[in-house]
Amino acid sequence: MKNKILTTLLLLHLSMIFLGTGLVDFSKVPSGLHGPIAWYLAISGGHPYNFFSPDIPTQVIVRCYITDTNGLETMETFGETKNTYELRTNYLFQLLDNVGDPETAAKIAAHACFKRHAGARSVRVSIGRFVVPSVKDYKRGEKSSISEFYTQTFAHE
Amino acid sequence: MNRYKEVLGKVFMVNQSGDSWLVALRVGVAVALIAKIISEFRFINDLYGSDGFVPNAISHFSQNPYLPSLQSIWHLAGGVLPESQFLIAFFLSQLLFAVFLFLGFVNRFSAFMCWFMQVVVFNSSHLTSYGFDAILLSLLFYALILPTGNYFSIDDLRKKTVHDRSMIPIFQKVLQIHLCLIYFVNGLSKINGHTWQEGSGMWDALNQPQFQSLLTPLLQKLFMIDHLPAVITWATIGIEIAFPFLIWVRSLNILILLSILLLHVFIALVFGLWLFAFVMIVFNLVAFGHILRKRKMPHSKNITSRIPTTHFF
Repeated sequence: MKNKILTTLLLLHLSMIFLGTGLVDFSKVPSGLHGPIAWYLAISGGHPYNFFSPDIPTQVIVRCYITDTNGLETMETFGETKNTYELRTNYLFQLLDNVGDPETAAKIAAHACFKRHAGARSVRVSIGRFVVPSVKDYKRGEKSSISEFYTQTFAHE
Repeated sequence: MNRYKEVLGKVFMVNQSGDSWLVALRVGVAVALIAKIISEFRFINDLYGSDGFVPNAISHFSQNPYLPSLQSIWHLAGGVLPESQFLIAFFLSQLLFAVFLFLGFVNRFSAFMCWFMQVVVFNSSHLTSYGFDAILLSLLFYALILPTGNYFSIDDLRKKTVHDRSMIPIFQKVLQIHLCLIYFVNGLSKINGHTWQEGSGMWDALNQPQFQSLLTPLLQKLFMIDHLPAVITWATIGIEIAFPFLIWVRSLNILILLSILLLHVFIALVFGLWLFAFVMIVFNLVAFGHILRKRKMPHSKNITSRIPTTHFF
């Protein structure tokens, strides 16, 4: 009996994980169950499992031009080095790009720069996508480039 | 009906092992958690502080209100410590519990604390989390609910008790189905992407700054070979889609398992996503690793037949 109950619970667990993948249209699930399912997925690691898909995202490069009180400008770039911190910040910028919200991305980058550079007077944030040439174009000598699509300047209050 | 059940039972009981996978689960997930904490330790204020990279005002919206977050626990503790010190104490405690889990010392409690603290971290940092965090949380969840401390652990040495093993094959089956679901869903999702359809997915990934490594120049040269980028790209999708099916076929399971392990080694070495690759390799070895071991033992059938089984169907 104990084993049957355990097996039933495990099957229920797998059903929840299945629901979390997004293969089933979530809107067809009774709305009253959305909260409990989301809660269960959050404690059990349920996920849509869409790593590197549906497409390899075009990497977002965020550049900050920081001007201090003496008018000197320094530049900081997010997304060009590799460590756990950069990986996570890249993920966030990618997420915001996917939902079409560069404004929030710019605010986050400016906030980080003002925090790191205490004497900063203004920060100009430039957001671009890293464009990789096709293999064919690469063979012809074309290089990767950054295509800027959003810029905003923030002043220290 | 009975015949149907018998056939299904035979198919799904192909990959059945003893209980060493429970040890691999406990040790593997503990090592992954320890590696995560150590690699992030110098960034914890930036990643998890309320005035960190993602200010609380923004991250707050992505949190599940019915689960605790780092900030809510800090407030609950009355803010006795400054937030930065609280975060250090929090992650050092999690590190300690991860070491306990590795050793199988007060295993259930250690697994609970590791899992609970990871739920808190995951809930606090949804916006900056990625696949690794979800897989780690899943494995910690399994390390908590399954009897991972019963074998090769300090707890096992301290109190030598006979454990009921009747459910162990079913526990492993759950992990196996979960893993198959991951690859199937991921492969299916890739099929819909045009970079994967075109065969340029791997080339695009290889050239992104975040995935550059010492191997990048070499691979860029290698990818100049006609059709190779497309072959590697489509092979990736093929392996992922085929995995949930071929892993149950006795004559092909070792090939598909080695292919997927190789794929994760490639991800670690070329893209530098070594934590994600490690946790996926652990998941694979926990769920199906015994396939590799069995091939080396000609009499493995006799060995597995001694393990009490409960049929899934």
